[in-house]
Amino acid sequence: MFKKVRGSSLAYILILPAFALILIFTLYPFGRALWTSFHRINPVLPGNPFVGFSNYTSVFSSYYFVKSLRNTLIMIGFTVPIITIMSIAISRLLIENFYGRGILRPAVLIPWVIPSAITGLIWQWLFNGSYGAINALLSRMGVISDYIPWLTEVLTAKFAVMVAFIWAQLPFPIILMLAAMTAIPSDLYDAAKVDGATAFDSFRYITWPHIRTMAVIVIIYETLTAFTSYSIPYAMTGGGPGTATSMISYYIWSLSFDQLQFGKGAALAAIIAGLSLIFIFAIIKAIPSEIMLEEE
Amino acid sequence: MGGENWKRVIVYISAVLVFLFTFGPFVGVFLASIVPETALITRPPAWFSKGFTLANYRYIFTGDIPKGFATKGTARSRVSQEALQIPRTLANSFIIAFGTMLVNLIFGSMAAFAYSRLRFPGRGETFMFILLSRLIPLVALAVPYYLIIQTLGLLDTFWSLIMIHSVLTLPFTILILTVYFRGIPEDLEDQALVDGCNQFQMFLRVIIPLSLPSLVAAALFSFMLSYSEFLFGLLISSTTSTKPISVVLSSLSNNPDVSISLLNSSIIVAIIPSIILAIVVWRFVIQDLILGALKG
Repeated sequence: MFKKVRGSSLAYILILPAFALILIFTLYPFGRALWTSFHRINPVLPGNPFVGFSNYTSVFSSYYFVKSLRNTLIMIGFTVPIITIMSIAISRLLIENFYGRGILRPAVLIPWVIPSAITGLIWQWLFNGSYGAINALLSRMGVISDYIPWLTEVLTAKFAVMVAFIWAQLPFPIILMLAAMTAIPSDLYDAAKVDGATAFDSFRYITWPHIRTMAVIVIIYETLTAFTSYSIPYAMTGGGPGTATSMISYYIWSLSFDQLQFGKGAALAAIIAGLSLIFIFAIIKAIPSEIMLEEE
Repeated sequence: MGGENWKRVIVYISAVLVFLFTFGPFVGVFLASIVPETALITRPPAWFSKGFTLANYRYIFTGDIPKGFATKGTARSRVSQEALQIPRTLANSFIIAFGTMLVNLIFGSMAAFAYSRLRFPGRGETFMFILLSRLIPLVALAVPYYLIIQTLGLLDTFWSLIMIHSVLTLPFTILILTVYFRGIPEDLEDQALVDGCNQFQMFLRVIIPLSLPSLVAAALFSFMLSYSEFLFGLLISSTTSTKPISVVLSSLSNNPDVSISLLNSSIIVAIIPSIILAIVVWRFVIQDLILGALKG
Protein backbone atom coordinates (compact mmCIF):
# COMPACT_ATOMS: atom_id res chain seq x y z
CA MET A 1 0.00 0.00 0.00
CA PHE A 2 1.01 3.52 -0.73
CA LYS A 3 1.95 5.18 2.55
CA LYS A 4 4.22 8.10 1.62
CA VAL A 5 1.50 10.65 2.30
CA ARG A 6 2.29 13.88 4.05
CA GLY A 7 -0.58 13.96 6.51
CA SER A 8 -4.11 14.04 5.16
CA SER A 9 -4.11 17.60 3.89
CA LEU A 10 -3.56 16.62 0.25
CA ALA A 11 -6.57 14.32 0.40
CA TYR A 12 -8.79 17.03 1.85
CA ILE A 13 -7.71 19.55 -0.77
CA LEU A 14 -8.48 17.02 -3.50
CA ILE A 15 -11.95 16.10 -2.29
CA LEU A 16 -12.90 19.62 -1.18
CA PRO A 17 -14.43 21.07 -4.39
CA ALA A 18 -16.64 18.07 -5.14
CA PHE A 19 -17.53 17.38 -1.52
CA ALA A 20 -18.33 21.00 -0.66
CA LEU A 21 -20.57 21.37 -3.70
CA ILE A 22 -22.49 18.20 -2.89
CA LEU A 23 -22.67 19.08 0.82
CA ILE A 24 -24.16 22.52 0.19
CA PHE A 25 -26.67 21.16 -2.29
CA THR A 26 -27.70 18.27 -0.03
CA LEU A 27 -27.69 19.41 3.59
CA TYR A 28 -29.27 22.83 3.06
CA PRO A 29 -32.10 21.57 0.81
CA PHE A 30 -32.72 18.72 3.20
CA GLY A 31 -32.91 21.00 6.24
CA ARG A 32 -34.86 23.63 4.38
CA ALA A 33 -37.45 21.15 3.12
CA LEU A 34 -37.85 19.71 6.59
CA TRP A 35 -38.31 23.19 8.12
CA THR A 36 -40.81 24.16 5.42
CA SER A 37 -42.86 21.04 6.02
CA PHE A 38 -43.59 22.16 9.61
CA HIS A 39 -44.58 25.72 8.69
CA ARG A 40 -47.32 27.37 6.73
CA ILE A 41 -45.62 29.03 3.76
CA ASN A 42 -47.99 30.96 1.59
CA PRO A 43 -46.99 34.01 -0.42
CA VAL A 44 -50.48 35.47 -0.05
CA LEU A 45 -50.71 35.13 3.74
CA PRO A 46 -48.34 37.02 6.07
CA GLY A 47 -45.83 35.26 8.32
CA ASN A 48 -44.65 31.65 8.34
CA PRO A 49 -46.24 30.24 11.49
CA PHE A 50 -45.20 26.87 12.90
CA VAL A 51 -48.02 24.44 12.27
CA GLY A 52 -46.65 21.15 13.61
CA PHE A 53 -47.72 18.10 11.67
CA SER A 54 -50.79 19.67 10.13
CA ASN A 55 -49.20 19.80 6.65
CA TYR A 56 -48.51 16.08 6.94
CA THR A 57 -51.99 15.17 8.13
CA SER A 58 -53.70 17.28 5.49
CA VAL A 59 -51.57 15.67 2.74
CA PHE A 60 -52.27 12.19 4.05
CA SER A 61 -55.99 12.77 4.21
CA SER A 62 -56.32 14.48 0.82
CA TYR A 63 -58.22 12.68 -1.90
CA TYR A 64 -55.53 13.44 -4.44
CA PHE A 65 -52.77 11.89 -2.30
CA VAL A 66 -54.60 8.58 -1.98
CA LYS A 67 -55.49 8.60 -5.66
CA SER A 68 -52.01 9.46 -6.98
CA LEU A 69 -50.30 7.06 -4.58
CA ARG A 70 -52.60 4.32 -5.82
CA ASN A 71 -51.82 5.21 -9.47
CA THR A 72 -48.09 5.20 -8.73
CA LEU A 73 -48.26 1.81 -7.01
CA ILE A 74 -50.28 0.33 -9.89
CA MET A 75 -47.69 1.72 -12.31
CA ILE A 76 -44.87 0.13 -10.27
CA GLY A 77 -46.77 -3.16 -10.01
CA PHE A 78 -47.11 -3.50 -13.77
CA THR A 79 -43.99 -1.88 -15.19
CA VAL A 80 -41.26 -3.11 -12.84
CA PRO A 81 -41.85 -6.86 -13.39
CA ILE A 82 -42.25 -6.29 -17.15
CA ILE A 83 -39.05 -4.22 -17.36
CA THR A 84 -37.13 -6.82 -15.37
CA ILE A 85 -38.31 -9.77 -17.45
CA MET A 86 -37.89 -7.92 -20.77
CA SER A 87 -34.38 -6.77 -19.84
CA ILE A 88 -33.36 -10.36 -19.08
CA ALA A 89 -34.90 -11.63 -22.34
CA ILE A 90 -33.40 -8.87 -24.50
CA SER A 91 -29.94 -9.23 -22.92
CA ARG A 92 -30.15 -12.96 -23.53
CA LEU A 93 -30.91 -12.13 -27.17
CA LEU A 94 -28.08 -9.60 -27.45
CA ILE A 95 -25.38 -12.06 -26.37
CA GLU A 96 -26.38 -14.37 -29.24
CA ASN A 97 -24.41 -14.05 -32.46
CA PHE A 98 -26.69 -12.91 -35.23
CA TYR A 99 -26.56 -10.76 -38.33
CA GLY A 100 -27.43 -7.17 -37.36
CA ARG A 101 -26.40 -7.43 -33.72
CA GLY A 102 -23.99 -4.53 -34.26
CA ILE A 103 -26.99 -2.33 -35.11
CA LEU A 104 -29.42 -3.67 -32.51
CA ARG A 105 -27.07 -3.25 -29.55
CA PRO A 106 -26.66 0.54 -29.83
CA ALA A 107 -30.30 0.85 -30.99
CA VAL A 108 -31.72 -0.51 -27.74
CA LEU A 109 -29.66 2.09 -25.90
CA ILE A 110 -31.12 5.13 -27.66
CA PRO A 111 -34.32 5.62 -25.61
CA TRP A 112 -32.07 6.02 -22.56
CA VAL A 113 -30.42 9.18 -23.88
CA ILE A 114 -33.64 10.87 -24.97
CA PRO A 115 -34.58 13.59 -22.46
CA SER A 116 -37.66 12.32 -20.60
CA ALA A 117 -39.66 15.44 -21.41
CA ILE A 118 -39.11 14.64 -25.10
CA THR A 119 -39.95 10.97 -24.57
CA GLY A 120 -43.30 12.15 -23.25
CA LEU A 121 -43.83 14.33 -26.35
CA ILE A 122 -42.98 11.51 -28.76
CA TRP A 123 -45.40 9.09 -27.14
CA GLN A 124 -48.07 11.72 -26.74
CA TRP A 125 -48.09 12.12 -30.51
CA LEU A 126 -47.80 8.38 -31.24
CA PHE A 127 -50.86 7.68 -29.07
CA ASN A 128 -52.79 10.80 -30.13
CA GLY A 129 -56.48 10.00 -30.59
CA SER A 130 -57.12 11.99 -33.76
CA TYR A 131 -53.87 12.02 -35.76
CA GLY A 132 -51.41 9.79 -33.89
CA ALA A 133 -49.13 7.34 -35.67
CA ILE A 134 -50.42 4.28 -33.81
CA ASN A 135 -54.03 4.94 -34.86
CA ALA A 136 -52.90 5.66 -38.41
CA LEU A 137 -50.88 2.45 -38.56
CA LEU A 138 -53.60 0.26 -37.01
CA SER A 139 -56.30 1.61 -39.28
CA ARG A 140 -54.04 1.28 -42.32
CA MET A 141 -53.47 -2.38 -41.42
CA GLY A 142 -57.20 -2.83 -41.00
CA VAL A 143 -56.97 -3.77 -37.31
CA ILE A 144 -59.29 -0.95 -36.23
CA SER A 145 -61.97 0.90 -38.15
CA ASP A 146 -62.44 3.78 -35.71
CA TYR A 147 -59.57 5.66 -34.10
CA ILE A 148 -58.97 4.77 -30.45
CA PRO A 149 -58.88 7.77 -28.05
CA TRP A 150 -55.86 6.30 -26.24
CA LEU A 151 -55.02 9.21 -23.99
CA THR A 152 -58.52 10.26 -23.01
CA GLU A 153 -59.95 6.94 -21.77
CA VAL A 154 -58.97 5.79 -18.28
CA LEU A 155 -57.69 2.29 -19.10
CA THR A 156 -55.99 3.07 -22.41
CA ALA A 157 -54.34 6.19 -20.93
CA LYS A 158 -52.85 4.10 -18.12
CA PHE A 159 -51.71 1.57 -20.72
CA ALA A 160 -50.14 4.23 -22.97
CA VAL A 161 -48.25 5.84 -20.10
CA MET A 162 -46.89 2.46 -19.01
CA VAL A 163 -45.73 1.60 -22.53
CA ALA A 164 -43.83 4.89 -22.77
CA PHE A 165 -42.31 4.40 -19.31
CA ILE A 166 -41.16 0.86 -20.14
CA TRP A 167 -39.70 2.09 -23.44
CA ALA A 168 -37.69 4.80 -21.69
CA GLN A 169 -36.57 2.64 -18.76
CA LEU A 170 -35.52 -0.56 -20.56
CA PRO A 171 -31.99 0.38 -21.76
CA PHE A 172 -30.29 0.77 -18.38
CA PRO A 173 -31.41 -2.64 -16.99
CA ILE A 174 -30.40 -4.19 -20.33
CA ILE A 175 -26.87 -2.83 -19.90
CA LEU A 176 -26.70 -4.14 -16.33
CA MET A 177 -28.02 -7.57 -17.33
CA LEU A 178 -25.76 -7.73 -20.36
CA ALA A 179 -22.76 -6.97 -18.15
CA ALA A 180 -23.81 -9.71 -15.71
CA MET A 181 -24.38 -12.25 -18.49
CA THR A 182 -21.12 -11.42 -20.28
CA ALA A 183 -19.25 -12.19 -17.06
CA ILE A 184 -20.48 -15.80 -16.99
CA PRO A 185 -17.64 -18.14 -18.13
CA SER A 186 -18.72 -19.80 -21.37
CA ASP A 187 -17.22 -23.20 -20.45
CA LEU A 188 -20.06 -23.59 -17.97
CA TYR A 189 -22.51 -23.66 -20.88
CA ASP A 190 -20.28 -26.00 -22.89
CA ALA A 191 -20.09 -28.41 -19.98
CA ALA A 192 -23.87 -28.27 -19.54
CA LYS A 193 -24.34 -29.04 -23.23
CA VAL A 194 -22.09 -32.07 -22.98
CA ASP A 195 -24.19 -33.24 -20.03
CA GLY A 196 -27.30 -32.95 -22.25
CA ALA A 197 -28.87 -29.95 -20.50
CA THR A 198 -31.79 -28.22 -22.25
CA ALA A 199 -31.81 -24.46 -22.92
CA PHE A 200 -34.16 -24.08 -19.99
CA ASP A 201 -31.84 -26.07 -17.69
CA SER A 202 -28.83 -23.94 -18.56
CA PHE A 203 -30.79 -20.77 -17.93
CA ARG A 204 -32.16 -22.08 -14.64
CA TYR A 205 -28.91 -23.50 -13.25
CA ILE A 206 -26.19 -21.36 -14.88
CA THR A 207 -27.53 -17.99 -16.07
CA TRP A 208 -30.02 -17.27 -13.30
CA PRO A 209 -27.67 -17.73 -10.30
CA HIS A 210 -25.22 -15.31 -11.98
CA ILE A 211 -27.76 -12.59 -12.72
CA ARG A 212 -29.88 -12.92 -9.56
CA THR A 213 -28.13 -10.08 -7.71
CA MET A 214 -28.40 -7.85 -10.75
CA ALA A 215 -32.11 -8.67 -11.07
CA VAL A 216 -32.64 -7.52 -7.47
CA ILE A 217 -30.75 -4.29 -8.19
CA VAL A 218 -32.84 -3.72 -11.32
CA ILE A 219 -36.10 -4.30 -9.44
CA ILE A 220 -35.20 -1.90 -6.64
CA TYR A 221 -33.73 0.74 -8.95
CA GLU A 222 -36.76 0.67 -11.24
CA THR A 223 -39.14 0.81 -8.30
CA LEU A 224 -37.35 3.88 -7.00
CA THR A 225 -37.38 5.48 -10.45
CA ALA A 226 -41.06 4.76 -11.03
CA PHE A 227 -41.81 6.12 -7.57
CA THR A 228 -40.08 9.46 -8.07
CA SER A 229 -40.56 10.20 -11.77
CA TYR A 230 -43.52 11.88 -13.35
CA SER A 231 -42.33 13.71 -16.46
CA ILE A 232 -43.50 11.10 -18.96
CA PRO A 233 -47.13 10.83 -17.73
CA TYR A 234 -47.23 14.58 -17.23
CA ALA A 235 -46.11 15.32 -20.80
CA MET A 236 -48.46 12.69 -22.26
CA THR A 237 -51.72 13.19 -20.39
CA GLY A 238 -51.20 15.98 -17.86
CA GLY A 239 -52.30 13.40 -15.27
CA GLY A 240 -55.68 12.80 -16.91
CA PRO A 241 -58.25 11.86 -17.87
CA GLY A 242 -59.45 13.04 -14.47
CA THR A 243 -56.77 11.70 -12.16
CA ALA A 244 -56.21 8.41 -14.00
CA THR A 245 -52.48 8.95 -14.64
CA SER A 246 -51.60 11.41 -11.85
CA MET A 247 -48.39 10.37 -10.12
CA ILE A 248 -47.42 11.02 -6.52
CA SER A 249 -44.22 12.97 -7.37
CA TYR A 250 -46.11 15.32 -9.64
CA TYR A 251 -48.37 16.12 -6.69
CA ILE A 252 -45.34 17.75 -4.95
CA TRP A 253 -44.82 19.95 -7.98
CA SER A 254 -48.46 20.86 -8.25
CA LEU A 255 -48.81 21.64 -4.51
CA SER A 256 -45.66 23.79 -4.49
CA PHE A 257 -45.73 25.56 -7.82
CA ASP A 258 -49.36 25.55 -8.96
CA GLN A 259 -51.09 25.98 -5.61
CA LEU A 260 -48.12 27.72 -3.88
CA GLN A 261 -48.67 25.59 -0.77
CA PHE A 262 -44.96 25.09 -0.16
CA GLY A 263 -45.48 23.65 3.34
CA LYS A 264 -47.70 20.84 2.09
CA GLY A 265 -45.43 20.27 -0.91
CA ALA A 266 -42.45 19.88 1.42
CA ALA A 267 -44.40 17.58 3.72
CA LEU A 268 -45.25 15.35 0.78
CA ALA A 269 -41.62 15.47 -0.36
CA ALA A 270 -40.55 14.34 3.11
CA ILE A 271 -43.07 11.49 2.97
CA ILE A 272 -41.75 10.43 -0.43
CA ALA A 273 -38.12 10.78 0.73
CA GLY A 274 -38.94 8.58 3.74
CA LEU A 275 -40.45 5.91 1.53
CA SER A 276 -37.49 6.19 -0.88
CA LEU A 277 -35.10 5.70 2.02
CA ILE A 278 -36.58 2.25 2.51
CA PHE A 279 -35.73 1.46 -1.13
CA ILE A 280 -32.27 2.99 -0.67
CA PHE A 281 -31.42 0.67 2.23
CA ALA A 282 -32.66 -2.23 0.18
CA ILE A 283 -30.33 -1.15 -2.66
CA ILE A 284 -27.34 -1.00 -0.32
CA LYS A 285 -28.14 -4.48 0.97
CA ALA A 286 -28.32 -5.83 -2.59
CA ILE A 287 -25.27 -4.11 -4.13
CA PRO A 288 -22.25 -6.42 -4.41
CA SER A 289 -19.86 -5.46 -1.61
CA GLU A 290 -16.88 -4.80 -3.92
CA ILE A 291 -18.53 -1.64 -5.24
CA MET A 292 -18.46 -0.03 -1.81
CA LEU A 293 -15.11 1.00 -0.38
CA GLU A 294 -13.59 -1.73 1.69
CA GLU A 295 -12.28 -0.43 5.03
CA GLU A 296 -9.25 -2.18 6.36
CA MET B 1 -30.05 -29.82 -36.18
CA GLY B 2 -33.76 -28.93 -36.31
CA GLY B 3 -33.45 -27.39 -32.85
CA GLU B 4 -30.65 -25.09 -34.00
CA ASN B 5 -32.70 -23.87 -36.96
CA TRP B 6 -35.69 -23.13 -34.78
CA LYS B 7 -33.40 -21.19 -32.50
CA ARG B 8 -32.17 -19.06 -35.42
CA VAL B 9 -35.76 -18.29 -36.38
CA ILE B 10 -36.69 -17.26 -32.84
CA VAL B 11 -33.54 -15.13 -32.54
CA TYR B 12 -34.28 -13.22 -35.75
CA ILE B 13 -37.98 -12.75 -35.02
CA SER B 14 -37.28 -11.38 -31.56
CA ALA B 15 -34.46 -9.18 -32.89
CA VAL B 16 -36.89 -7.61 -35.35
CA LEU B 17 -39.54 -7.11 -32.64
CA VAL B 18 -37.05 -5.51 -30.25
CA PHE B 19 -35.80 -3.22 -33.02
CA LEU B 20 -39.35 -2.17 -33.94
CA PHE B 21 -40.20 -1.39 -30.33
CA THR B 22 -37.08 0.66 -29.52
CA PHE B 23 -36.49 2.31 -32.88
CA GLY B 24 -39.99 2.37 -34.44
CA PRO B 25 -41.08 5.54 -32.60
CA PHE B 26 -38.14 7.45 -34.10
CA VAL B 27 -39.05 6.29 -37.60
CA GLY B 28 -42.61 7.53 -37.03
CA VAL B 29 -41.45 10.90 -35.72
CA PHE B 30 -38.99 11.31 -38.59
CA LEU B 31 -41.59 10.46 -41.27
CA ALA B 32 -44.08 12.86 -39.72
CA SER B 33 -41.44 15.59 -39.83
CA ILE B 34 -40.95 15.36 -43.60
CA VAL B 35 -44.52 14.98 -44.88
CA PRO B 36 -46.89 17.95 -45.24
CA GLU B 37 -49.33 18.62 -42.42
CA THR B 38 -52.32 17.81 -44.64
CA ALA B 39 -51.08 14.25 -45.17
CA LEU B 40 -50.86 13.68 -41.42
CA ILE B 41 -54.36 14.70 -40.43
CA THR B 42 -56.43 13.17 -43.24
CA ARG B 43 -58.54 10.11 -42.54
CA PRO B 44 -58.07 7.41 -43.60
CA PRO B 45 -54.35 8.09 -43.18
CA ALA B 46 -52.47 8.92 -46.37
CA TRP B 47 -49.01 9.84 -45.12
CA PHE B 48 -47.23 9.22 -48.40
CA SER B 49 -49.72 10.76 -50.79
CA LYS B 50 -48.47 14.35 -50.75
CA GLY B 51 -44.74 13.98 -51.24
CA PHE B 52 -41.94 14.95 -48.88
CA THR B 53 -40.62 18.30 -47.73
CA LEU B 54 -37.83 19.66 -45.57
CA ALA B 55 -39.66 22.99 -45.14
CA ASN B 56 -40.01 22.60 -41.37
CA TYR B 57 -36.31 22.06 -40.89
CA ARG B 58 -35.58 25.05 -43.09
CA TYR B 59 -37.94 27.14 -40.98
CA ILE B 60 -36.28 26.13 -37.71
CA PHE B 61 -32.83 27.11 -38.92
CA THR B 62 -33.51 30.01 -41.29
CA GLY B 63 -36.96 31.36 -40.42
CA ASP B 64 -38.31 30.79 -43.97
CA ILE B 65 -42.01 30.16 -43.46
CA PRO B 66 -43.12 26.78 -44.95
CA LYS B 67 -45.32 26.92 -48.08
CA GLY B 68 -48.11 24.89 -46.43
CA PHE B 69 -48.64 27.87 -44.13
CA ALA B 70 -50.55 29.60 -46.93
CA THR B 71 -53.07 26.75 -47.35
CA LYS B 72 -56.58 27.70 -46.24
CA GLY B 73 -58.54 25.90 -43.53
CA THR B 74 -57.58 23.61 -40.66
CA ALA B 75 -55.06 21.68 -42.73
CA ARG B 76 -52.67 24.58 -43.10
CA SER B 77 -49.28 24.40 -41.43
CA ARG B 78 -49.15 26.44 -38.29
CA VAL B 79 -45.83 28.02 -37.39
CA SER B 80 -44.65 29.82 -34.31
CA GLN B 81 -41.71 32.11 -33.71
CA GLU B 82 -41.05 29.91 -30.69
CA ALA B 83 -39.60 27.23 -32.98
CA LEU B 84 -36.91 29.72 -33.98
CA GLN B 85 -35.52 29.45 -30.44
CA ILE B 86 -34.35 25.92 -31.20
CA PRO B 87 -30.88 26.61 -32.66
CA ARG B 88 -30.05 29.04 -29.84
CA THR B 89 -31.31 26.75 -27.05
CA LEU B 90 -29.60 23.76 -28.63
CA ALA B 91 -26.36 25.73 -28.25
CA ASN B 92 -27.30 26.55 -24.64
CA SER B 93 -27.82 22.87 -23.88
CA PHE B 94 -24.39 22.10 -25.32
CA ILE B 95 -22.69 24.85 -23.29
CA ILE B 96 -24.31 23.64 -20.06
CA ALA B 97 -23.59 19.98 -20.78
CA PHE B 98 -19.99 20.76 -21.73
CA GLY B 99 -19.46 22.81 -18.55
CA THR B 100 -20.93 20.00 -16.45
CA MET B 101 -18.61 17.55 -18.18
CA LEU B 102 -15.51 19.68 -17.40
CA VAL B 103 -16.48 20.08 -13.73
CA ASN B 104 -17.00 16.32 -13.51
CA LEU B 105 -13.64 15.53 -15.10
CA ILE B 106 -11.62 17.95 -12.97
CA PHE B 107 -13.29 17.76 -9.55
CA GLY B 108 -14.33 14.16 -10.05
CA SER B 109 -10.87 12.84 -10.88
CA MET B 110 -9.31 14.83 -8.02
CA ALA B 111 -11.73 13.33 -5.50
CA ALA B 112 -11.47 9.86 -7.01
CA PHE B 113 -7.67 9.99 -6.75
CA ALA B 114 -7.95 10.81 -3.05
CA TYR B 115 -10.47 8.03 -2.42
CA SER B 116 -8.53 5.40 -4.36
CA ARG B 117 -4.99 6.17 -3.19
CA LEU B 118 -4.88 8.15 0.05
CA ARG B 119 -5.81 7.20 3.61
CA PHE B 120 -7.41 9.90 5.70
CA PRO B 121 -9.89 10.22 8.57
CA GLY B 122 -13.47 10.43 7.28
CA ARG B 123 -12.67 8.68 4.01
CA GLY B 124 -15.42 6.05 4.19
CA GLU B 125 -18.00 8.43 5.65
CA THR B 126 -17.56 11.18 3.07
CA PHE B 127 -17.57 8.64 0.23
CA MET B 128 -20.80 7.12 1.51
CA PHE B 129 -22.32 10.59 1.88
CA ILE B 130 -21.45 11.50 -1.72
CA LEU B 131 -23.00 8.28 -3.05
CA LEU B 132 -26.17 8.49 -0.99
CA SER B 133 -26.76 12.18 -1.73
CA ARG B 134 -27.94 11.26 -5.19
CA LEU B 135 -30.76 9.08 -3.93
CA ILE B 136 -32.96 11.91 -2.64
CA PRO B 137 -35.87 12.46 -5.05
CA LEU B 138 -35.17 15.44 -7.31
CA VAL B 139 -38.57 17.04 -7.09
CA ALA B 140 -38.15 17.31 -3.31
CA LEU B 141 -35.06 19.48 -3.89
CA ALA B 142 -36.58 21.86 -6.41
CA VAL B 143 -37.61 24.68 -4.06
CA PRO B 144 -34.44 24.70 -1.92
CA TYR B 145 -32.25 24.60 -5.04
CA TYR B 146 -34.16 27.54 -6.43
CA LEU B 147 -33.60 29.45 -3.17
CA ILE B 148 -29.85 28.71 -3.14
CA ILE B 149 -29.48 29.90 -6.72
CA GLN B 150 -31.56 32.99 -5.98
CA THR B 151 -29.43 33.82 -2.91
CA LEU B 152 -26.27 33.47 -4.97
CA GLY B 153 -27.79 35.83 -7.55
CA LEU B 154 -27.34 33.22 -10.27
CA LEU B 155 -30.88 32.86 -11.60
CA ASP B 156 -30.97 32.57 -15.38
CA THR B 157 -27.24 31.90 -15.75
CA PHE B 158 -25.29 29.01 -17.23
CA TRP B 159 -23.31 28.76 -13.97
CA SER B 160 -26.35 27.82 -11.94
CA LEU B 161 -27.35 24.95 -14.23
CA ILE B 162 -23.76 23.73 -14.55
CA MET B 163 -23.52 23.75 -10.75
CA ILE B 164 -26.79 21.85 -10.23
CA HIS B 165 -26.06 19.33 -12.97
CA SER B 166 -22.61 18.77 -11.49
CA VAL B 167 -24.11 18.05 -8.08
CA LEU B 168 -26.36 15.48 -9.74
CA THR B 169 -23.60 13.81 -11.78
CA LEU B 170 -20.48 14.03 -9.56
CA PRO B 171 -21.44 11.12 -7.25
CA PHE B 172 -21.63 8.76 -10.21
CA THR B 173 -18.40 10.11 -11.73
CA ILE B 174 -16.55 9.76 -8.44
CA LEU B 175 -17.84 6.20 -8.02
CA ILE B 176 -16.73 4.93 -11.43
CA LEU B 177 -13.39 6.77 -11.38
CA THR B 178 -12.58 5.53 -7.87
CA VAL B 179 -13.32 1.94 -8.83
CA TYR B 180 -11.19 2.31 -11.97
CA PHE B 181 -8.24 4.15 -10.35
CA ARG B 182 -8.06 1.42 -7.73
CA GLY B 183 -7.44 -1.11 -10.48
CA ILE B 184 -4.24 0.63 -11.66
CA PRO B 185 -1.13 -1.19 -10.35
CA GLU B 186 0.64 0.86 -7.70
CA ASP B 187 4.12 -0.30 -8.83
CA LEU B 188 3.80 2.11 -11.74
CA GLU B 189 3.30 5.00 -9.36
CA ASP B 190 6.14 3.96 -7.09
CA GLN B 191 8.35 3.80 -10.15
CA ALA B 192 7.34 7.34 -11.11
CA LEU B 193 8.06 8.58 -7.59
CA VAL B 194 11.47 6.92 -7.63
CA ASP B 195 12.14 8.65 -10.94
CA GLY B 196 11.67 11.98 -9.19
CA CYS B 197 8.06 12.88 -9.93
CA ASN B 198 6.06 14.50 -7.16
CA GLN B 199 2.59 13.19 -6.40
CA PHE B 200 0.86 15.73 -8.60
CA GLN B 201 3.12 14.97 -11.59
CA MET B 202 2.58 11.28 -10.96
CA PHE B 203 -1.20 11.83 -11.03
CA LEU B 204 -0.96 13.69 -14.35
CA ARG B 205 1.56 11.41 -16.05
CA VAL B 206 0.59 7.97 -14.76
CA ILE B 207 -2.98 7.86 -13.49
CA ILE B 208 -4.67 10.10 -16.05
CA PRO B 209 -3.27 8.46 -19.22
CA LEU B 210 -3.91 4.95 -17.86
CA SER B 211 -7.51 5.68 -16.93
CA LEU B 212 -8.49 7.37 -20.18
CA PRO B 213 -11.38 4.95 -20.93
CA SER B 214 -13.05 5.58 -17.59
CA LEU B 215 -12.56 9.33 -17.97
CA VAL B 216 -14.27 9.16 -21.37
CA ALA B 217 -17.09 7.21 -19.74
CA ALA B 218 -17.53 9.74 -16.96
CA ALA B 219 -17.41 12.60 -19.43
CA LEU B 220 -20.07 11.11 -21.69
CA PHE B 221 -22.40 10.14 -18.86
CA SER B 222 -22.27 13.58 -17.29
CA PHE B 223 -22.78 15.24 -20.66
CA MET B 224 -25.75 13.02 -21.38
CA LEU B 225 -27.43 13.56 -18.01
CA SER B 226 -27.01 17.30 -18.27
CA TYR B 227 -28.33 17.38 -21.83
CA SER B 228 -31.44 15.43 -20.78
CA GLU B 229 -32.23 17.38 -17.62
CA PHE B 230 -35.48 19.30 -17.71
CA LEU B 231 -36.80 20.16 -14.24
CA PHE B 232 -34.09 22.61 -13.15
CA GLY B 233 -33.81 24.11 -16.61
CA LEU B 234 -37.48 24.98 -16.31
CA LEU B 235 -37.07 26.45 -12.81
CA ILE B 236 -33.85 28.41 -13.21
CA SER B 237 -33.91 29.67 -16.80
CA SER B 238 -36.45 32.28 -17.76
CA THR B 239 -34.99 33.66 -21.01
CA THR B 240 -33.72 32.14 -24.24
CA SER B 241 -30.19 33.24 -23.37
CA THR B 242 -29.83 30.26 -20.99
CA LYS B 243 -32.87 28.01 -21.60
CA PRO B 244 -31.99 24.41 -22.47
CA ILE B 245 -33.69 22.84 -25.49
CA SER B 246 -35.76 20.36 -23.44
CA VAL B 247 -37.66 23.28 -21.89
CA VAL B 248 -38.36 24.91 -25.26
CA LEU B 249 -39.64 21.65 -26.74
CA SER B 250 -42.02 21.11 -23.89
CA SER B 251 -43.47 24.59 -24.33
CA LEU B 252 -43.68 24.08 -28.12
CA SER B 253 -45.84 21.04 -27.50
CA ASN B 254 -48.35 23.16 -25.59
CA ASN B 255 -48.35 25.88 -28.24
CA PRO B 256 -51.48 25.65 -30.44
CA ASP B 257 -49.65 27.55 -33.21
CA VAL B 258 -47.20 24.71 -33.72
CA SER B 259 -48.19 22.10 -36.31
CA ILE B 260 -47.63 18.38 -35.77
CA SER B 261 -44.98 18.21 -38.45
CA LEU B 262 -43.14 21.24 -37.06
CA LEU B 263 -43.17 19.74 -33.56
CA ASN B 264 -41.86 16.45 -34.93
CA SER B 265 -39.09 18.25 -36.83
CA SER B 266 -38.14 20.03 -33.60
CA ILE B 267 -38.02 16.70 -31.76
CA ILE B 268 -35.71 15.25 -34.42
CA VAL B 269 -33.36 18.26 -34.20
CA ALA B 270 -33.25 17.92 -30.42
CA ILE B 271 -32.60 14.17 -30.32
CA ILE B 272 -29.99 13.86 -33.06
CA PRO B 273 -27.20 14.75 -30.59
CA SER B 274 -28.65 12.16 -28.18
CA ILE B 275 -28.66 9.46 -30.83
CA ILE B 276 -25.06 10.19 -31.83
CA LEU B 277 -24.17 10.12 -28.16
CA ALA B 278 -25.86 6.73 -27.69
CA ILE B 279 -23.76 5.24 -30.47
CA VAL B 280 -20.55 6.75 -29.05
CA VAL B 281 -21.47 5.61 -25.52
CA TRP B 282 -22.04 2.10 -26.79
CA ARG B 283 -18.90 1.93 -28.89
CA PHE B 284 -16.41 3.43 -26.45
CA VAL B 285 -17.94 2.96 -23.05
CA ILE B 286 -20.12 -0.08 -22.73
CA GLN B 287 -18.50 -2.32 -25.29
CA ASP B 288 -14.92 -1.65 -24.16
CA LEU B 289 -15.21 -0.63 -20.56
CA ILE B 290 -18.04 -2.59 -19.00
CA LEU B 291 -18.35 -5.71 -21.12
CA GLY B 292 -14.64 -5.79 -22.03
CA ALA B 293 -13.42 -5.37 -18.46
CA LEU B 294 -15.66 -8.17 -17.22
CA LYS B 295 -14.55 -10.54 -19.95
CA GLY B 296 -10.86 -9.79 -19.56
